[in-house]
Amino acid sequence: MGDILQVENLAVEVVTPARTLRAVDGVTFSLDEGEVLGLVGESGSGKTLTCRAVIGLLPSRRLRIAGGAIRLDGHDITRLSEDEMRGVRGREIGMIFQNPTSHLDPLMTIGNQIAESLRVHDGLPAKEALEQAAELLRQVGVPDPRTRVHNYPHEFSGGMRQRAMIAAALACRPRILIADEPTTALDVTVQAQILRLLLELRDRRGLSIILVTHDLGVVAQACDAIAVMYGGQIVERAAKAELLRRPLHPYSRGLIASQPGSAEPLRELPTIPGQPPAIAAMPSGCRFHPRCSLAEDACRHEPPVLAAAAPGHETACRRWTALVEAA
Amino acid sequence: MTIATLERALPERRPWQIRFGNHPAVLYAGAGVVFVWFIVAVFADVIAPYEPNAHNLKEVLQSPNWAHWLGTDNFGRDVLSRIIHGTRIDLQMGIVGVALPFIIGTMLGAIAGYFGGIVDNILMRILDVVLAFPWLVLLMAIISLLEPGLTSFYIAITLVAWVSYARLVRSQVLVLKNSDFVVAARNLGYGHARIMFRHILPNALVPSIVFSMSDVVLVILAGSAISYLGLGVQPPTAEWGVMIAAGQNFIFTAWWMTTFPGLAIVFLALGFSLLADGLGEKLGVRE
Repeated sequence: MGDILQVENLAVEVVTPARTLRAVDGVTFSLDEGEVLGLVGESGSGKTLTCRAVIGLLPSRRLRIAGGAIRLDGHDITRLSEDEMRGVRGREIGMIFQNPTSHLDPLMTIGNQIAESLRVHDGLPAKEALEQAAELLRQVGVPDPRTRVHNYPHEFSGGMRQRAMIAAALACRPRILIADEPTTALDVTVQAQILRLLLELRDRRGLSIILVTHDLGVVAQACDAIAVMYGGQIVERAAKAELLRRPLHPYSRGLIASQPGSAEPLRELPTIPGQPPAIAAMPSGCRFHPRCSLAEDACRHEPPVLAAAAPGHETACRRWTALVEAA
Repeated sequence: MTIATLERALPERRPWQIRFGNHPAVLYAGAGVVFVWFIVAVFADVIAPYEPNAHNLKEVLQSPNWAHWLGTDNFGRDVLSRIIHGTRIDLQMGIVGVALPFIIGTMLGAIAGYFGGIVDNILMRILDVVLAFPWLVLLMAIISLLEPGLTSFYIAITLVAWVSYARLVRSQVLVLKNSDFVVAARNLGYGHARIMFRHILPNALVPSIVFSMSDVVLVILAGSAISYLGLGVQPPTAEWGVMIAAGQNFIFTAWWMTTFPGLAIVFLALGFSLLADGLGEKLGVRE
């Protein structure tokens, strides 16, 4: 199995009249066929922008891809024209979102919304497309799909809407699914169902998934590998078990420590002091240094490099040895 | 959830509001009144007891009686029959006079909102110019440039009234083009035309549809006002505004010549007003 998607040194800039700011800076990762990669970080860490850049739809005209490459099967899709890119969206890369309610057209039946993609990309006639939409709804676990295709979004529950959105995103059998906080707006029980569904689809279709989340519980359940983002950069990257057991960046460690555990007695949760940096005022050197207890002079002045600390485990912290000793 | 947010989440309900199931009663009342007027217009020939334009000089200026329920005018024409036949023209004025501006305003507003930039700028400046004039005066000015008559009225009302629809649709499109489900549609690789016509426009039309119902009232009033001034429908055609104009010379001797056509305008307008109110409530649009 080879890498289906490689993102190399991706930079996304915000162009304002006064100056140009970097919102995503030097992000590099790759996605294996059938792999679930967790992209973890706080709001504003650049994870959503990274995903939007991959699908070629940055949310504002002020944003632009300033450098780097996004390779799909080895071809750089940042160089594609808008028309060519339209063929990539939905066919090669599908995307689902946090809030299924607002991402479905309220005036179109669920069936038509799923069928639309099949009609646009595969040129299926209306009737066949609708039949396939029912089949897709069945695959994502919506009961009684033949009647449900005629329902409107408001007649679906939150979990069912998320299933419908997954069905629409997967209608044209894309090989990559970008899931931007797909479970955040759902109940915990429904969350688990949706994650299970995504993993099932991965197994059945060989789908590769980029799962964007700030919830380490979701990551622990669903991902194979994790990339932790902070201030527009990836600060640590490893296989899931390795990273959760032995985080080698103080930020990852802080994130993991601040997760409430259900088995433990009540205690005050440790937090990471301070605020994530604003994009207009990125700290020099290591972007995490103002919040880091291990920061030393070098951290304040020299930008760190993401480098292997152990086989298959990369960290951007130059003091990771001190971190291991401190534990 | 705090009480404040809970209160906001509950639908606003006025104490006197009556509802049938999920529908506000005004919606039914309005639809009922409008429906009755439609029936009257369609079956005018059957319902009207007399020919609307048949002079009868033996029975001029009769007050309401059993033979002529709403009296007769100065030519002995039956006022009820003329009102019934006038329904055809006044309803047609209301509907055509709203449909044309609706279509043109929607198209221009959608183009301005979706593409933005210079197209938007030019269209909005033209709109400002139209809005700068009192609309009834502008309406009369345009009709005088053409020639008095129903066709000129339709042309004039289209030139004047498209601005409301253009503004409504444009603002909706501006909001909707950045909405989540449109982003989702882009993410599925759909083209501009499909996104515009299948996803944005159907959603953008809701406030315009509600507005158009109350606009029908304004247009009917404008139409009969224009006819009253002699610029619209020409006598002897039975039209309510024309009837009122003809009756005003006899207002002290034959009050029925002006009162009943006036009431007809009021009841037709009331029907569309209630319909607009009910639709607005049903579709969650506040004006």
